[in-house]
Amino acid sequence: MKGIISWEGKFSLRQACPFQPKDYCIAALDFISNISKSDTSIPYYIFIGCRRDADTLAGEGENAIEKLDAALTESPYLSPMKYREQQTLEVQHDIPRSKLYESAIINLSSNLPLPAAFYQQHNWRIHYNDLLQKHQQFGSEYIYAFNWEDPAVDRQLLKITKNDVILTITSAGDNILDYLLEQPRRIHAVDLNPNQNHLLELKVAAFTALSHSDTWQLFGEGRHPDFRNLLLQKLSPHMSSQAFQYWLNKTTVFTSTGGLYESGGSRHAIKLVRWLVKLFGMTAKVQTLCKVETLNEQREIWPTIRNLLLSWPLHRAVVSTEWWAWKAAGVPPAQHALILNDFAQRSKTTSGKPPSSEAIWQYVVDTLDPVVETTQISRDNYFYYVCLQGKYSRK
Amino acid sequence: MLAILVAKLQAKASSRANRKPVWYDVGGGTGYNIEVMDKLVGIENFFDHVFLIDLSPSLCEVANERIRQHGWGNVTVLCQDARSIACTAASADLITMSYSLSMIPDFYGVVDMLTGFLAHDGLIGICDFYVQSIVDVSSRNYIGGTFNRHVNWVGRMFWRTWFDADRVNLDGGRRDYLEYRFGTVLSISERNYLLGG
Repeated sequence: MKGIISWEGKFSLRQACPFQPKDYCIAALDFISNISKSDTSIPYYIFIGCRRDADTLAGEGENAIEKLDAALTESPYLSPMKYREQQTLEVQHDIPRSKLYESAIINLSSNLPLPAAFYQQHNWRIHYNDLLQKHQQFGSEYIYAFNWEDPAVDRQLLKITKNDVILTITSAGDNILDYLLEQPRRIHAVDLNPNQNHLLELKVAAFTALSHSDTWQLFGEGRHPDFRNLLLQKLSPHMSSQAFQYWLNKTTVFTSTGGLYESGGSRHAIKLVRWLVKLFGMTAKVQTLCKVETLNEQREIWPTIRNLLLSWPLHRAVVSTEWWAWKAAGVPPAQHALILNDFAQRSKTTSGKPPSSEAIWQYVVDTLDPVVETTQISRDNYFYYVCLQGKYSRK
Repeated sequence: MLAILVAKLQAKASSRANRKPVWYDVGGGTGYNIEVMDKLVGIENFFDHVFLIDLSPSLCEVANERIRQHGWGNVTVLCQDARSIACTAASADLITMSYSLSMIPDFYGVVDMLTGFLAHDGLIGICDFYVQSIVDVSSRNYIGGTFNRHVNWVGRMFWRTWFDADRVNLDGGRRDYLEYRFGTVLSISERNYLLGG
């Protein structure tokens, strides 16, 4: 601060100051904090381009932008030949437009190429501004490497038909792939964290371009020794520029010992559980838990593991904090508050507001106990299996 | 880069109706790209014709020698300035430039010219060194993502001066101009640790 003030004083004497003092300080900090390995490496780029004229867009022919927009927003397709009429119509009816359409119109009117999303082989990914703070807050990390919600239940309840249009949060994208089995008309996958969508794109590209054994290695085992080559040679045509640059920088996810299912924000929780199991010598017990064939056997083993996972010191120090809820378990602050309120309402009889740690503890107990009581981890509950084992079973 | 391009070309091959692609390697030097491509797909099988353009006679000589050794019948070496390439408009299915754009002083003209050469469903692949600050690109929505693009100012200063000595120009304008003249399909920023340490 002192530095900024003194530079300001100095520069205000000279009108033709070439840079802002604040910028200077930031640059100086940049300098100090960045003398690292990255300075000694040469930056290079790879650019794959095509003709920028809108009329050569892949396979769509004329009016590609409008058709694409109509498909993405579920709004009626309107011909751009009647642009003026359309404009009045839009004012009257407030037709929703995709961000993609808006950006395309701006770019075309200022003689710029269209966003990269237009020049892809598949129009799976909509253009977004990756520099916005709401997207940048996640850094380059997704929270979920796999979904927790059981799509079988979704399908029972939703009864998806071929005419349905589904709007869903992407998360790890597993449920979206499951819905596809019912061949709905369209699925819109939305996520605030762009890295979750990068993960979905990777999954979709893999199902499009790879053999069953490669796909199994990637998303069953969570590991693939040759991931980089697969990405370059097989997956690259099916991915957007953002998703591709993301995964090219994350190839170690699939080559590391932990694999895909020990990556992302939720890995903290998963790793902690595994580490505790190891520390207290319960590895054998957990292995049996994942193997036993009947619920009764499962219920017999559970109490010892339960005592460890639901122990008070662990809970107080880690699990009930808000940081843990958001960054490791992916529970946003609002949902966290909802859990607390819910608990407060249920325990109204006791006087005063109960502490948050108690509420979360009750929540975790209510979640875990029924899981072990009613579902078979070795066969049905692959969500808990993947946490404990770091991979899916072939069942 | 070549691997990505091949994957792209193969994915598009179905719409090409059995016509083999024509490839221009601009600033192709000793023809090493062609050798790598040969290992990936086989030059004679995959391409209709390959042109290698380079200004340096000594490099072209090495390239000719390489072609003789491999016995490729459909590769032509053109020892000339990239500005004077004669090519039918919209006839090139693939154009590549590997570390050559940064060595062409009049790059605006060359990039403009290549824009005209590229076929309607053709691809251009360019790989080169660069230095740039995120500030340069933060207002653009057409560059296909900014992951890893920012080079800190020590790096910007050092590499630019370093390459200047070899008449290799790393200014951001080259990459910017490419992105302005072509539609971006994929764009990647990487760091080479092997050469630099």
